[in-house]
Amino acid sequence: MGTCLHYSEWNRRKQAGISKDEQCSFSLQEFKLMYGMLFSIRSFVSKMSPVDMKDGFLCFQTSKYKLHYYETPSGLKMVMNTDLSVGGTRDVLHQIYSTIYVEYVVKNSLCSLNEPIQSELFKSKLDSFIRSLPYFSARAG
Amino acid sequence: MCGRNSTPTSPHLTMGQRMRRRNASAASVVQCPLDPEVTFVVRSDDSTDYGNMAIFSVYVVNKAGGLIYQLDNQSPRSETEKTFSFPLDLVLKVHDERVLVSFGQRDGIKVGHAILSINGIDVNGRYTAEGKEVLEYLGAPPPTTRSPSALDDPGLLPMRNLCWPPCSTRELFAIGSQLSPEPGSSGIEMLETDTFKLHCFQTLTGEPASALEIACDIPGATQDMTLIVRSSGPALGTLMSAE
Repeated sequence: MGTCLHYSEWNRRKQAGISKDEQCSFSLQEFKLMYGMLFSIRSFVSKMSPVDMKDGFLCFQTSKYKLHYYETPSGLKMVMNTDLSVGGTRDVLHQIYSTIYVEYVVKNSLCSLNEPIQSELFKSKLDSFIRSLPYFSARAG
Repeated sequence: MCGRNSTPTSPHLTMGQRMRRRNASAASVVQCPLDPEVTFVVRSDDSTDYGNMAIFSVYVVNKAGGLIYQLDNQSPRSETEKTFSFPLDLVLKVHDERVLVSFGQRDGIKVGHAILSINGIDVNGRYTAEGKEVLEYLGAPPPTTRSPSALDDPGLLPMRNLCWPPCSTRELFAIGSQLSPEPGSSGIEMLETDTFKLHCFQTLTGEPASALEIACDIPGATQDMTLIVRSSGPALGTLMSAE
C-alpha cells in the first residue's frame, strides 16, 4: 500500500532536500513522492502504449541517474537507482526478489510482510549482493 | 437481456488497437487502451532491424503543460473482432468516457481494450452511433460490444483526453529530478517500457514558445534518437516563435 519496506543506499551523493533529519538522507516524504511517481508513471505508460503491454514500465533516466523498476505479480515493487551506464537490470532485481526477499523475508516467520523489514540478515545479504554486482562502484566505499 | 429486441443475439466484438475503420463492417470492434499517443519517426544506427523500429508519435508541450502539437506517425494498433452470445463473458466498465473491458481476457481481447463497434455500428465513447448507451445496450453488467472511442476521430476527441498524457509528462518528468540521488539532475530524459521508449527533451529557455518537450515512442530506440530529438527541438522552437 505504498509502504517502503526497505531502503538502503550506496554511493549516494545528494541528500534529500526535503529531509530535515540529518541522520538519514531519505525521508518519508521522499518515499511518498517515489510511490506517487511510480503510480503515475505506470498509469501514464499503460495509456501511452501503442500496443498491449506485458511488463510495462522498466526504467527511466535523467541526465544524472537511471531508475530501474521491477514489479512482481504480487505487486511488490523494487526500485534501484544506478549510474547512467548500467544496462538492463530486470534480472538483477528479479534475483533480489527471488533469492533475497523470498529467502530471508518471506520464509522468515519472524518477518511480517507489508511492514518495514527489520531483518538484519536480509539487509546484510542485500548489501553483499549489491556490492558483488559488476557495476557496483567503490567510489564512496 | 436476450429478450431485448434491439440487442443482437450474437454480438460481434472487435478489440485491440487499430486505425479507425471508416466503414465498420459487420462485427463490433474493441480498441486498446491506447489514448492519444505520441509518435515520432527516428532511425537509429544501433538496430540492425529497421523493420522493427518506428516512431509512433511526437508531442510538443509548452511551458504551461498544454499540448501544442501532436503528430501520430504510426499506429500498430491491434484490433480483434469476436462474436459473442448472451450472456457476455466480458465485464465492461466505463473509463474516461470509453467502454473498457475490465475482466475476461480471451481470444486476443485483453483487459483495457475498448469497444470500437457493435455489430458494425461504431461506438463513440459510451454511446453507439445511434445514440444508445453501450452498457445499457449490451445489457448492463456484462456488455458485449464496444466501438472505438472518439480516440480515432480528432473531431470528436475530447481535449481532455488529447491533452492529458503530455501534461502529466511535464509534471511527472519534473519529479524525476527531485528524486535524484545525484545533485543537479535534469528531469526524465528517457523512459523505457517493454513496448516503447519515450524520449523527452526539454528546452532550457524560459520563453514559452520554446519551452518544448518532445516525446517519442520508439521500440528499440537508441542514443541516436535522443540526438535527433535534441536537434529538432530548437528547430521547432524557432518555428514556434516565428509564428
